[in-house]
Amino acid sequence: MPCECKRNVHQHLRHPKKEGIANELFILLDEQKGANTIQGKNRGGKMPDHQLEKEGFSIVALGNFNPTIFQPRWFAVHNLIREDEADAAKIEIIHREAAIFTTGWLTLQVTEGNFTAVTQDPTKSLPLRDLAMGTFKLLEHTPIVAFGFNGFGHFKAVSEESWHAFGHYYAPKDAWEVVLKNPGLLKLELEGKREGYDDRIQIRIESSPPNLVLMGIMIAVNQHREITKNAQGTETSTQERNKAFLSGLQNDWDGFLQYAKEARNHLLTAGFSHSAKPAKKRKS
Amino acid sequence: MSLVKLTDALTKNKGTKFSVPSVLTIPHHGASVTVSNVGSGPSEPVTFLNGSVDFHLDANVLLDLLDRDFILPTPPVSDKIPQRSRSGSTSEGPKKEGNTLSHLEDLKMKAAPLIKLRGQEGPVRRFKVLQQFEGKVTEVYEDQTFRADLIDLTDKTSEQESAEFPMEEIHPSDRDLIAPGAIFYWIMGYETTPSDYKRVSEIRLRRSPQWSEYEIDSITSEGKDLFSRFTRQENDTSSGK
Repeated sequence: MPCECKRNVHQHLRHPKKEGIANELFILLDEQKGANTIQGKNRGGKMPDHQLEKEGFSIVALGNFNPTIFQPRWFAVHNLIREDEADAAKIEIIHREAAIFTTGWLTLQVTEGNFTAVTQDPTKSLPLRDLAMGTFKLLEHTPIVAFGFNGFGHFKAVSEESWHAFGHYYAPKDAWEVVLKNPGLLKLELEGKREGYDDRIQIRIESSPPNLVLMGIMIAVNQHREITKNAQGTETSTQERNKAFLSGLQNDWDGFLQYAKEARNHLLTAGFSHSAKPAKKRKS
Repeated sequence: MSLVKLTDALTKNKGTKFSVPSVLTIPHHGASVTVSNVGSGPSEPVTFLNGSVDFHLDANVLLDLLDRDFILPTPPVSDKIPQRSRSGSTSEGPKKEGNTLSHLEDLKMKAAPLIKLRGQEGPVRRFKVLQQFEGKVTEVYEDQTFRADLIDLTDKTSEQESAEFPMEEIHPSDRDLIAPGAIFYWIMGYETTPSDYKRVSEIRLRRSPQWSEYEIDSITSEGKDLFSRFTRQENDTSSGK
């Protein structure tokens, strides 16, 4: 039943005796404005300070490849992608120096020294792993010297202030303002190791391209493993390297994805928890 | 001066020397304007931000500019972070040849004369994963259904479950792969498309290369070898008794 008092919607929400109506209004506003905003308020929850906009993964191998092999039809013949995916593939180039094609969820780029399989479909992390495994099970004599796992995500900040404050948290501008006018964080990259692994970890924070995500932050995590030498420090054979790559894909890909997710969640939480403080005002 | 006033000024003063801040209102949030074919000067585009840049403009060029949309794209970065020049960055960051970072940008640049990628890194899908299972087909029935054991990949502490699926749930191209032992991924979540936001359940079969005859022969001979070694050991121990 509608309330007969002469309060407006916002006053109603604070009306101590009209909780029922307030809830009705919440539901109404919920439908009009989207669930997260209003439900968060009603339950005393906090608005999220960022939102995942885009996510992707890639597997990279370094070695010596013959790009002309890597054609959509080859993958379909060997049961690594569907026939219809091979038919629908958009081939950018197939050449002895480079092969690039995209089909549905997958983009594959191979040059003489680099194999990269990428997906920007968050549901395809395991099919991507399977594709890389299948490829190098078939190409068992391909010399590989290193491989890497990559996970990246673009996060949209809830406001321009929090976006700036995030950058300011990781790169305070005090030192820069002496030499730069209006300094802004473009890219920050750190290298280190992951607990329990000898692999090199690189984590990159970047401002997302504005045409991709406005007020966006990109966080990319890379785990890099050299496989030219074994644990004893002796040179490994091609077959041993191939086995090391396949074993890494089989045993470590899931763990890497979990690690990458936890790493970026930590960085986002730390960066945005300081967003409450306004970014330092810039001198114009 | 507003853009309308600028139009008036330009129609009256063709080829006049303008001081940019006095004629163009650069959006505060840092939209940048890139002008090509400026006056009779060099043909490189001139990008100006919130600074004061004096240059000689052909009025027709500016009139064309006025037709453009200064609202979109309006990235809130360019007064703080200058847009990269089209020829690539001039910064001298260390180039690590031996890294496995996804460096599609590098690939694009190295192959610039030949390769022009349309997309960034392939098509983007906006999907929020709610739950993910790995399934293993245990039985296939004649009524176009199959049974599978399911492991919850979202919560690995969950107990293994078993479920029956109609074959219709499987992509037609994957149906041939349904056989006991086949592995599949079952993902549920919300998908956002430009026109829709929907709950999606998706099954995709795991694909592995088919065994070559050489591999089958090699595994068979290895199996035979192991069998003979084990049986010989058994015979030896039983005769030793």
